Amino acid sequence: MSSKPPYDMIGLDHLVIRCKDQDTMARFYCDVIGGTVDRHNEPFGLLQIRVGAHLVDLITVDGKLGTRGGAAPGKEARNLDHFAIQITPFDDESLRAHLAAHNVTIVESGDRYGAEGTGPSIYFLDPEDNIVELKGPSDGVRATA
Amino acid sequence: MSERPFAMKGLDHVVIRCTDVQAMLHFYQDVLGCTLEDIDKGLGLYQVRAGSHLIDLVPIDEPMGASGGPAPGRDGHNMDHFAIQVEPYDDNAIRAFLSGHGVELGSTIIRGGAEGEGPAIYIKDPEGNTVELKGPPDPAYN
Repeated sequence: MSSKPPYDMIGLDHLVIRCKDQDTMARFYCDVIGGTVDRHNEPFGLLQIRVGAHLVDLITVDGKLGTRGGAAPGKEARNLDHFAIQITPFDDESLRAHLAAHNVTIVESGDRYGAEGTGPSIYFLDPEDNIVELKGPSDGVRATA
Repeated sequence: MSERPFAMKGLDHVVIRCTDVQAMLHFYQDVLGCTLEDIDKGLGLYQVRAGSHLIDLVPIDEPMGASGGPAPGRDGHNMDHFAIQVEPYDDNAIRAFLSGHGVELGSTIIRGGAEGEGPAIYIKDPEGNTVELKGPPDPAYN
């Protein structure tokens, strides 16, 4: 057995969220978060939203892809705690005003360690209670485990 | 309504709730090739690096993970899967390597990702989360 994978990792490409109301979720990820619709594969119930260099895919739980995952997610027993999107700039005051204008509830905020070091973060819920983190530019200082 | 006060760069990290963090750390590091980034024992947060980004693991019996209730099961999970970009993508070599580690392999298919259509393989981590390893976009499909 070779001890090292036959590839290098570049980074994340996309993540796929299971949802009940795809239209409401899509409006949130576009209007509030600022994503754009990349592709819509209706037969598969797959709507791909571009968030900068990457994608957040929304699949309907009753669609061709979504039914493989069983029942719709509830408040508990989730496999994804949250996910984070890098944004720039991070202006706390205008961010809060923007989220408030869309009636989004902020659940937490503060400096957090992410992929590019420590930087400001704000956490809130999407319409189906997934926790989304918007992460501002970080200091570039890597943790040493 | 005011203009959105930011632009998006892309994903930063995903945080997965887990039951057996040691088995998950072994898989993400020794099998997939992530490197240990940081452990915060107080929060119960275990971070591994996947290229430019992080995969965070939060055990459900430690403070961060406990806030989401019971362990995820086959039903009712909120994330279908997530994808990691890998390079190069040599399907035979990847299959041989992962099989050698006893990883459950799905089919290899051409899928659209953030950078276009390219080969991808779907595998399961030790707790049943689907992970997609995604190769570079293939000009033949774009």
